[in-house]
Amino acid sequence: MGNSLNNLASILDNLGRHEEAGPLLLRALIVREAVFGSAHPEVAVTLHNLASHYLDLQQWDAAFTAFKRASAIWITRRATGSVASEEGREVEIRNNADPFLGLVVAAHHAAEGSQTEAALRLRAEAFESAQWVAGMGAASAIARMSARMAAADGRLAELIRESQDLAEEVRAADRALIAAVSQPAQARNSASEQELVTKSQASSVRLKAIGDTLAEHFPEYATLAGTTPLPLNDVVKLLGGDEALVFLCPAATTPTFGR
Amino acid sequence: MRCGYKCFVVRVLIAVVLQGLLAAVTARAQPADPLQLLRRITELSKVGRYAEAIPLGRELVTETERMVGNEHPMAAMAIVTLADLHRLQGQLDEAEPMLRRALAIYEKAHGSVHPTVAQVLASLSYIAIDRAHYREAEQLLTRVLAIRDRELGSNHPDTLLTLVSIARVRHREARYAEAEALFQNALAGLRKSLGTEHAYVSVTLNNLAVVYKEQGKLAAAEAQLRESLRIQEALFGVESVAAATVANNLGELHVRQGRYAEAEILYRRSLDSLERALGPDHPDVANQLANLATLFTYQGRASEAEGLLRRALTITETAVGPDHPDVAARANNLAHAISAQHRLQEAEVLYRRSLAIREAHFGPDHPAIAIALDNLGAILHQNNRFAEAEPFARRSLSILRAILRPHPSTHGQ
Repeated sequence: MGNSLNNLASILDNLGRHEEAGPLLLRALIVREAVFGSAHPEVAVTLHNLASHYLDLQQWDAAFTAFKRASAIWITRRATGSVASEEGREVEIRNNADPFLGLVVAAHHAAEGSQTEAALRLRAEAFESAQWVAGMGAASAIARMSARMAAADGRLAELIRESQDLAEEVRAADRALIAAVSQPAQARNSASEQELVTKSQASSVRLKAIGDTLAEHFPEYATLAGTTPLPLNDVVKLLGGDEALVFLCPAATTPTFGR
Repeated sequence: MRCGYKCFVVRVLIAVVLQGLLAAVTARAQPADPLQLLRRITELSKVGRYAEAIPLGRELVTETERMVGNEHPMAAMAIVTLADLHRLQGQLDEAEPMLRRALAIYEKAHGSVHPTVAQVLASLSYIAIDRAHYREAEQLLTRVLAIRDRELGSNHPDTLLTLVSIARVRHREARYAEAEALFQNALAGLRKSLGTEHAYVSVTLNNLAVVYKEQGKLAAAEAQLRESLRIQEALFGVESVAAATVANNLGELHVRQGRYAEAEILYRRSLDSLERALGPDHPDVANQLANLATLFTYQGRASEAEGLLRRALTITETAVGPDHPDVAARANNLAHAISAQHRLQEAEVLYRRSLAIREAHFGPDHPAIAIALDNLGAILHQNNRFAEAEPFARRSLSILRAILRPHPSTHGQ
């Protein structure tokens, strides 16, 4: 029911019939929160649609609040391991980048022409949100690489390299396994499938052990690798008097849509 | 869902046959070969290895017919044993004529109101359920219930299990409140007569949980599924088909809850168990592949999901024919994976096929139709065909409003 309400409302919004869409979206949100609780992907999708609706109506503050709630759900899911692999977590954020982008747009309009404290806070939030859109995967990869290069300790560099290789091995083995399972029965080979499973399990065990070692002996690396966006104030402190940071944020082409 | 308590019905049948043959063997001092066959069939059935049991079932029929002739009720018992193995292996067309033959033998020997007749009718009703012929299933089950009520009494486990079957049909017809009430009645009765740890109890919990899930009562569903899984694992082992069936349902629930990591572990484990026991071409394996694939679609692995789903669709089409609701479900899942790869035209064709199958099969107000309409509206919307999309979304909403008024809920699949 939440699904249907949500979809119909999005269609109506796209047809420009906003006054019909609004009540449906609020109803969809209530239904979905009642069934799923407030931190569920379906709730995030409805919040995103509601925020987009407010954006259409130029109700910037309401849009900002709803985008913020939607993006907070995806951030929480990433942090709490609702999705199994690091790759899956990156994909989930990437596939659901629209509310992060929407937040930037809403904050921009809400703060336009104002230098009040509230306006500055909105801009700071937009800056952080934009970093999610720009891709945490890339940010995290750079952080890891620089940590590796900066590491005076050869053992750290060694461990990081090994863990990156192992993670790729696990992913490759699983992709190969799924490709094998997708074959007709007569084309399958249970011995080679079992080999993939065994290999992947061994790599996972080793990966876990390295993760534990890193966390224990190189806690500063573990912190760096779990990158979160840099707050605006911290960035400003890093800039000289005659420097400016230009941060380009890619625009989404398609709206997030209910499954 | 497919195997579930049917495994136990097979076991009950086998126990009956075993008794009969034991008597015959003792009386005629024949070699104990059928007994050994039965023991082996029982062992294999218990862990879901029906394909391996089928040749033994054939031997059992031959051997029994050699001993008692082919018009004797004992021959009918052997035939039913073999037919149930075929049914559980998803070979419905082979199972049905055997059951009809056994039914004729029983009716001739015992009349039409006898527990053995009820057993065969129950097996026929499971075939009707698997074929999605719900009216036929309900008619058969009504007869079964009447016989068992009279011959065994209303508190007998077999009678209560008939209520569970009727509830499963109601569930598939989206009559959720009725299904829930029946499951709960049956559950109370079964617990009273069999205790809390029995397989019948566990299977009923499993079914009840799925109805809870459909109604959006996710916390209640989770509690029942965990209890059911605990019992199945204790009775049949962690890697059994019986446990895998419940593990899959718990996985589906976790997907609804957005708990993908937990769902994936359960799905993979269940797939492994099902493939091992049932072989790679069983309809339950196809269902499990499709579930795993749908989870992949949600997690950005849509092209891999597509491979799994094409395989699943082929298995399902081969097993139940191209017009079965399960095929509609597979087409729907495949369309998701394809639309996630932005191939909207292809996805639209599949969504339309899914809708057509469901409209032919279910009444006009079934939620499966609402979901299909919703998905079709969504794909048109994604293609910026907003005005075309609106009527589909409206029809979907009005169906769901009518069905779910007492319990607001959503349907993602």
